[in-house]
Amino acid sequence: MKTGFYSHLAADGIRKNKRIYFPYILMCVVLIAMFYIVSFLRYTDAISGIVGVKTIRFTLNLGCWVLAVFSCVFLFYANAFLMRSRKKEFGLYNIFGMDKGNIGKVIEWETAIVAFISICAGLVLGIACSKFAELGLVKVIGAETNYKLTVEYEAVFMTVAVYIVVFILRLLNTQGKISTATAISLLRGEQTGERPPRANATLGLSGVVLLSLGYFIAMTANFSSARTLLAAAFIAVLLVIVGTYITMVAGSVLLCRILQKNKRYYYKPAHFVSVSSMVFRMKRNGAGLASICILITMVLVMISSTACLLYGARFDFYVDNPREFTLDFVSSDPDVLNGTVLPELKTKLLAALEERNAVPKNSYDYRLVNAGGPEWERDLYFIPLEDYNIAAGTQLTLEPGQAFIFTFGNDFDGDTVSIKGMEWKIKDSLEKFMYAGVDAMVVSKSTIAVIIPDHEELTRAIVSMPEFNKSVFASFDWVYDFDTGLTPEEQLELYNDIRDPLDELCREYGFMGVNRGSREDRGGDEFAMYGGIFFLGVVLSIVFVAAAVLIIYYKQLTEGFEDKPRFETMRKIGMTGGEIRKSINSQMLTVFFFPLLLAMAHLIFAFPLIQRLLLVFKLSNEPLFSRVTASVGAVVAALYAVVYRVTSNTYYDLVSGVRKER
Amino acid sequence: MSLLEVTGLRKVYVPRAGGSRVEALRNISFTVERGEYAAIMGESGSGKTTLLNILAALDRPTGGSVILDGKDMSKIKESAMAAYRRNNLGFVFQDFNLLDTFTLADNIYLPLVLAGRPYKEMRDRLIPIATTLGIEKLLNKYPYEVSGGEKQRAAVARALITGPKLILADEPTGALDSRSSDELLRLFSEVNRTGQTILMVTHSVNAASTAGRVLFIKDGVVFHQLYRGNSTNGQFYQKISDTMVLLATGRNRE
Repeated sequence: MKTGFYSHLAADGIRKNKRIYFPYILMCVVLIAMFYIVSFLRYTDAISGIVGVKTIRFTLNLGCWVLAVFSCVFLFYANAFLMRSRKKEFGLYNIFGMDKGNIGKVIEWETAIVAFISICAGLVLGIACSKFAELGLVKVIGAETNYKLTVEYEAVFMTVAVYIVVFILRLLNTQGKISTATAISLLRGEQTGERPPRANATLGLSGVVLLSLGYFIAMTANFSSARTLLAAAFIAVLLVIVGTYITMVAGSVLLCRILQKNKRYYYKPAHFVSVSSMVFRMKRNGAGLASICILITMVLVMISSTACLLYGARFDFYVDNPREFTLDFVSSDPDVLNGTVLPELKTKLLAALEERNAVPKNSYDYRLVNAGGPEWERDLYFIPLEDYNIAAGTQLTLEPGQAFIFTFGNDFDGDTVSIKGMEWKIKDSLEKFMYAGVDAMVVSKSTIAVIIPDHEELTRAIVSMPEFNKSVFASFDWVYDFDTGLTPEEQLELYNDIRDPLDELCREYGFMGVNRGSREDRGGDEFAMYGGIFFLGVVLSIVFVAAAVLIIYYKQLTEGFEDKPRFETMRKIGMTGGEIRKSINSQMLTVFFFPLLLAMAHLIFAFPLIQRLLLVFKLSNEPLFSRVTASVGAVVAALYAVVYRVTSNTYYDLVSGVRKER
Repeated sequence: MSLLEVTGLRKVYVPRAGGSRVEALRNISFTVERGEYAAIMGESGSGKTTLLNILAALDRPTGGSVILDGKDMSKIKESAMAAYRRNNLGFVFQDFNLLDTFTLADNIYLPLVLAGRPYKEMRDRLIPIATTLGIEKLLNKYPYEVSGGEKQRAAVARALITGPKLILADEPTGALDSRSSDELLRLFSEVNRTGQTILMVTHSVNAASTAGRVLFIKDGVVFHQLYRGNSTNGQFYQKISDTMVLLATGRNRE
C-alpha cells in the first residue's frame, strides 16, 4: 500500500473524530505555548538586570520541567480516552484486512499530524504571548523596552525537542495497547467492563506517611544558609508531590470503598451513583486530581510568597522611610546646634521649599550627635531629650546623668553608656524609637541611639577631648524629615531642584554638607526587583492556573462522554433530571474540592518554609504574610469555584443531552 | 376497567432537515387486563419500539391516548414523569442496561435508592426476588463477571423490586442463548402467575408462545391478535408461527 493511503486515513480519522480531537489538540497547543513562554522567560535578556536573576532562572527552569512532566501525564490521560473511542475503528480496519503493522502506520501518521499541528500552533501562540509577558515584565522592572517581536531560538529548540519526545512516548504507549489487542476486543473496546480497582490500604497509608514527612520537614527545616534551606525545601516539595499522587490514587479508592461500606451514606440517591462510578474512575481520576492539587499548590505558594516579598518589602521600606524626604545637615562644629543658627536655617529652608510649592508636613525635627571611632565597638547617636519628646510625641523625663537607649535589634547589656570621661546611667531601654529606623542612613545595626538630657555638655566635652578628630570622630547634625503630599513625579522633581539651594544653605551656615534622601528616589530600584519577581510569580501562576483549568475541563468533557450512556440508562429506569443533577453535584463537590482542600493544607504547611525563605531577603512580618497568604488563598478558591461552575455545566449538558451532537 | 388502555395511538416523525414524514404508528388500540401476560410481535420497522417507548413514557404520541390504571399518561407533567415511571413501571431491556459500576445487588437497588427507601427495606425486598430468580449467590458480583442470562435475571429483579403495575419487556431474550432464553421465559411465566402484569415486545415466536395473548403489529396498526385459550406452549407456538407466515407472505390487511 502506498504511504499516501495511510496519511489520508489518519487525517480522515482526525477529521471524523473532531469532536474529541479538537479539544485534545487545543489542550496540546496551549500546553506547548505555555512551555515556550516559561522557557522564553528563562532565556530572555530582559530579566538579566534583576537582582537574584539566578534564583529566578532556577525557578523558571523548574517550572519548565514541571510543565513537561505535566504535559506527559496529561497527554497519556487524554490519550487513554481517545483510544477507547477509536478502538472500534481500528478493529474494523483489522477485520477488513489491515494487520497490526498497517494500523501502527495509521497511528504513526495520526500522531505525526497531531504533533505537527500542536507544536507549530503552540509555538506561534507562545511567541505571540511571550511578547506580552516580556513587555509586562520590562514595564515592572522599568528597563528599556522595544516593541520588536523577539524569538529565543534556544527556547524554541527546547520546546520542540521536549514535545517531540512527549509525542513519541505517547505513540509508543498507543502502539503497545494496539499490539496486545485482538480484532474482536478492539471492536468491543468501548464497552469492555473495567475491573473495579481494589482498595490498597498499605499504599493509601504510605501516601499519607510521605505527605506527613514532607509537612514535617517544611515545618521544622531551620538552616542558616539559603542553600541548605532551598535543598530542604526541595526535598519537602518532592515528598509532598509524591505523597499527593499516591494519596489521591490509592487513598481515593480507599475512601470510596469506606463510603460504600457505610450503607446509610451510600444508599442515598445523591451519593449512590456518584460514589460507585467514582471507584472505577479513581485510578485515572486520582492522577488528574493530584495534578490539579499540585498545580493549585504551586499557584498558591508562588503568588503568596512573591506577594509577601513585595508587600513585606514595601512595608519594611515604609517603616525605614516614614517620610517622603529626609535631610541631614552635617557639621563638624558643635556650635551650629546651639544658638540661633538652626532656627535661621530652618526659616530659609522652608522658604526655599515653599518657592517650589512644597509645604512640609508631619516633620521630624531633631539634633543628633553621631560619635564613633575605630576603637569603639559601637557608633552612638546622641539625641537631646527635648528634641526626642517633640518628634516622638512623648513626655519622657530624665535626671542629669541618666539616658534612654534604643538598640536597633542588637544586644546591649550594660547599665551605663560612656564615652571618654562622660557616663550616663541607663534609665530604660526604649521598646520603639520615634520611628523604626533612626533614618535610612543608619547602615550599621550595631548603632545605639542614646537620648540624653544634657546635650550641650556633651558637645563641649567631645570637642575638648584630646582624641577628638584623632581616634574619636563626631559629627553634629540637624535632621529634618518631612512629607509634602506631592505626586511621585513632583517629589522626584523637587528632590533634584532642591540640591543647589541646599548647598548654598550649607555654605552660608557652616555645614560640611547635607545628606539628602527621597523615598521615591530610593524606592525605585528595590521595587523594580521585587516587582519583577512578583510579576514572574503571576505569569507562572497564570500558566499553572491555565493548566489546571485545562485538566478540569478535559476531565469533565471526557467523563461526560463516558457517562452519557450510564445516565441514559438511569433516565430509562426512572431518574429525573433533578436527580441526575444532584448526583452530578455530589460527585463534583467531592472530586473538585478535595484537591482544593489538600492544596490549602499544603499551603498552610508550606507557610513556615516560605517565611524562612523570606528571611533570606531580610523580611520578617508574620501578621502581614499571614494576611497576604490568606487573601491569595481566598482569591484562588473563588476562581476555582467559578471554573467548577462553568465546567460542571458543560458536563451536565453532555450527560443530559441538552447539547445535541453535531 | 383494564389496567392499560391504548386508544387510537398515532406517532409521526418529522425529519428536522425536511424530507418525507414517517408514520411509525397509525392507529393502535388495545387493552391489557390486570394480571395478563401479553406479547406484541412484529417485524423490524413495524413500530414495536416506538409503541414501547410511548408506553414507557419515554416518548410522546402525536395522537391518541394511553391510560394506565385510570390515569392518562399524556396528562402527567414532564417533571413528574420520571417518578411516575419509577413507581408504576418496570423495565427489562434487550441489552440489559445494567450499570457496570454497580454490583448486581446495587443495580437492583437502584430504583429503590432513587425513591429514597431505607436500606433495610430494600434488602428485605431483594432477598425473596433474588431467590425466585436464582441469583442470590451472585449479588455481590459485577455485571462483567456474570453471564448474559444472569445479567438479564438481575435486570428482571430490578424491574420487579418496586412492585410495578406493569412490566415492559423489550426483546428480553434478544441477546440470550436458547437455554438462557428458556430459563428467562419460564421465570416470566412464574412471575406472571403471582399476579404480575407483563407486556413483552418481541419478534421471537418462542418467546411469544409463553404469553397468554399475542398482538401482531404491521405497518403501524394492530393487524391481528391470538389468545392462547387452552393450548399448550407447543400448540400456541404453531398458531403464532402460522400467523407469522401469513403476515410475511404479504396478504393485505382487510
